[in-house]
Amino acid sequence: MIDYSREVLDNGLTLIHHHDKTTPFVIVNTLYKVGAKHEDEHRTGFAHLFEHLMFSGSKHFADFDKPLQEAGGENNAFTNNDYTNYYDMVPAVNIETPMCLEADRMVNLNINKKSLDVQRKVVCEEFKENYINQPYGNVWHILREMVYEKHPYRWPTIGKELKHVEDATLEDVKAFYSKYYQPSNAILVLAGNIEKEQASTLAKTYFGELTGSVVEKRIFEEPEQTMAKEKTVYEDVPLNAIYIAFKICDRLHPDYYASDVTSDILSNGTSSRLHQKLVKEEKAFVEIDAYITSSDDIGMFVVEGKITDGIELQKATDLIWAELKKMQEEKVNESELQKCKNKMLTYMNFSEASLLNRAISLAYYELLGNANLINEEEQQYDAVNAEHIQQFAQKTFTKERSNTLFYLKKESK
Amino acid sequence: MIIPQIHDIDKITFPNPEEIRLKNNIPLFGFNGTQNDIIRLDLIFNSGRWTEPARLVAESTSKLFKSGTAALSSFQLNEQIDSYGSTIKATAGYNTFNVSLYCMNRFLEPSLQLLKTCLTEITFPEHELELLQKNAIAKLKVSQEKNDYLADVAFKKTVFGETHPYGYETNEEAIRNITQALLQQFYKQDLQPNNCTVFIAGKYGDTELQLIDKYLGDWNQEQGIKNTENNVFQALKSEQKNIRITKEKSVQASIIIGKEFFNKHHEDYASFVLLNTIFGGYFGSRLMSNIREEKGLTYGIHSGLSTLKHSGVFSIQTDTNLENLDVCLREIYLEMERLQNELIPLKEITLARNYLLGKFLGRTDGPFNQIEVFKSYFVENLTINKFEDFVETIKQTDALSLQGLAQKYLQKDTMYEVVAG
Repeated sequence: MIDYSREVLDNGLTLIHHHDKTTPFVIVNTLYKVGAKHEDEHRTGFAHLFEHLMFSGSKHFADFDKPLQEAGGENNAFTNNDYTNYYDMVPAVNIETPMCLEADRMVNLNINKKSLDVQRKVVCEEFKENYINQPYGNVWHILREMVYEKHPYRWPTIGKELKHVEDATLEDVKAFYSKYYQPSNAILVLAGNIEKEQASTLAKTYFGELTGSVVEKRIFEEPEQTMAKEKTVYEDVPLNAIYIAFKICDRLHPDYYASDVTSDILSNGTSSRLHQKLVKEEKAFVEIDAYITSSDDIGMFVVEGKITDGIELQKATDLIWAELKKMQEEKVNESELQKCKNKMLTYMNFSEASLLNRAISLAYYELLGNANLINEEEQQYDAVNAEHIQQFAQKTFTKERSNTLFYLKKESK
Repeated sequence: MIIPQIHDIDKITFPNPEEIRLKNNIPLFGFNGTQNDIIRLDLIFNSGRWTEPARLVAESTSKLFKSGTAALSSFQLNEQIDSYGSTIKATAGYNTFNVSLYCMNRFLEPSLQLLKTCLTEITFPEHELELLQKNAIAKLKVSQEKNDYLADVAFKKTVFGETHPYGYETNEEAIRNITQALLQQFYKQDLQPNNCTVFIAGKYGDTELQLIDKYLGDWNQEQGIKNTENNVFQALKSEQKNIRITKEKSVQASIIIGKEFFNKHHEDYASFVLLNTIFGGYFGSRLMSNIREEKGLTYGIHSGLSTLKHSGVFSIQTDTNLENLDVCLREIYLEMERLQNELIPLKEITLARNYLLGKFLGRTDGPFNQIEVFKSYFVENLTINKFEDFVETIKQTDALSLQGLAQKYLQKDTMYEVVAG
């Protein structure tokens, strides 16, 4: 059980406090409700580029990192399709330093040409390092565009293409900042060795006076898929690979937990079905994995595998489908289900040992609308039964709803 | 806005672990006190690449650590472990063979029972080995498409030589040469109780300790086993200082610059850690400020010291666009020279020092951090009170001694330079 308290300041900023007196640290975690899905289709990669610019300094601080490091702190940030998250971890005596820094950059960021020029280049290098100069590096660019027809999940966080990042102007960046970086669009978590009263007082002292506008919540639509999609690409890769993706429910849908357990039954652990059957017994795959994308809106269920040399594509594909069909036709037995739940529970328990994980999870669950999910999810997973899984499989794993990407080596053309 | 004052971190102390002996004399070190009822248990053997009878035998043993016994197939064994939600994982290091168990306390007993099975009854079935070899060769091909992998392999080979356990490369031939007999020989010789130390972290009491003693304390030493821990290897350094690996169609190149270095036993260790922090060890470092934040030449650049039982490595690593390669290399060497020629401003030292002290404080935070640090000192034959000595040294190192260290250790002509891309 993780204790926390929640408070909304007058300017709309949500504060969550979680006390842990066993640690010498405090974490200041600021989540902004803006991610790649809020970008314009022709100017993608913006939310992530902007995350880089948040370290350029603000009105009262020429630099963000230096004062924090001087306070013995450490910080980082990440952006995904749904939100952008910044965290600072400092020894408890220096809690006020990150509070002051975060408050200042929430409304007084120093956006200038020099830092935009540099960070544009840095992000382009990141793009090349992770998505161009890597075997299978562009898979998500292809797959997202295939699976989603309308939803902005069509592009990955890094951006659809390098050019979008290269073309970002100072005006675009300023407009993005004033639209989304608002107290009412943020969730502040103070976790660690800090009392509730102090957390509340400090939040009001540093953030309470900041004013801003209200950000309209956008609803994104995505039509049901009714026809199977298939695509083949040839690249410089050493092994043929196959990706089969299905659209699934959103994060708050009751099916979410069944979808996660299903992916675990298929591929979590050496004794899981896909690994046992397709890698060990059939020797058709070098490696194979099934997982869900856990996005806020319509998510994805993905099965991906690298195919053993000499195995026909058709055979590899059929083998995956046979396992998916089996999930539809036969109920999972109790012991197999319990195995997955135990693995999930162990994972959750170990993950909770980290203060940073607790802080980020609280912010994320609050974004979903219910911070208490941090305590409720265990029961949600426990409540999943064999019927749920079968129903989920029947609903999801159909040919018409499938998206198959063959990612093949050039020589096999 | 009032800018808050920065306070110094109070004294950093590292807690002493609980230390007991199992019935068969295996030492056990424990850090207690997580909120949740979980336990992580590690067994560390003096072993690894240093003592293996042929290349990749230690690593392959770790990968086949749950490959089946006379009574249980690999699937049956793994299914039992998975059924408790537990994880048993083996990894081979340069000087160690490590086995870890992660589990919830309520499943500790059956998990320990299975751990014991993995430690004593694995037969390394032929068909499991064959599949491992086949898939390892396939995965190697994927790795060899990555510039950073190619650079790393070439760098280690250059610094330590192809025959050294710290330097040899994973290649198809070595994978094919692994046999069942070699694995069985290594397993029997190295995974013995007199060669083992146990570490636990999490939440435990007498019940848990008794269970550990029940399963690991009655594990008997095999007679007549010869320990090969005293093997001696000579590093055969490459004559050539610059290695260039060309990979067609690369848009970027991976760079590694560095050399063989000392480990934590050296008197300059702690002050060098501070110098390295300033040079390339954190986000505010000179390499990062100049090459990323000022010039935008890379997504990231880092320098670091990794210490090994019998040696150490100092290296600088980055990826950059091919057209910026020369500028990038020039700037790296320029930053080394600046540290030798100019005194580092006090403000910059304070900043890096405070950051580093924050990191040291983090290493004392909670049983899981504590056990990691404790193990890393243990495997290098260092007692944990060194930790607090290092903190003191970092507090006292001044600009003049940092400059002296730079002149002593950061000379360009002592460095190897590997570029892949």
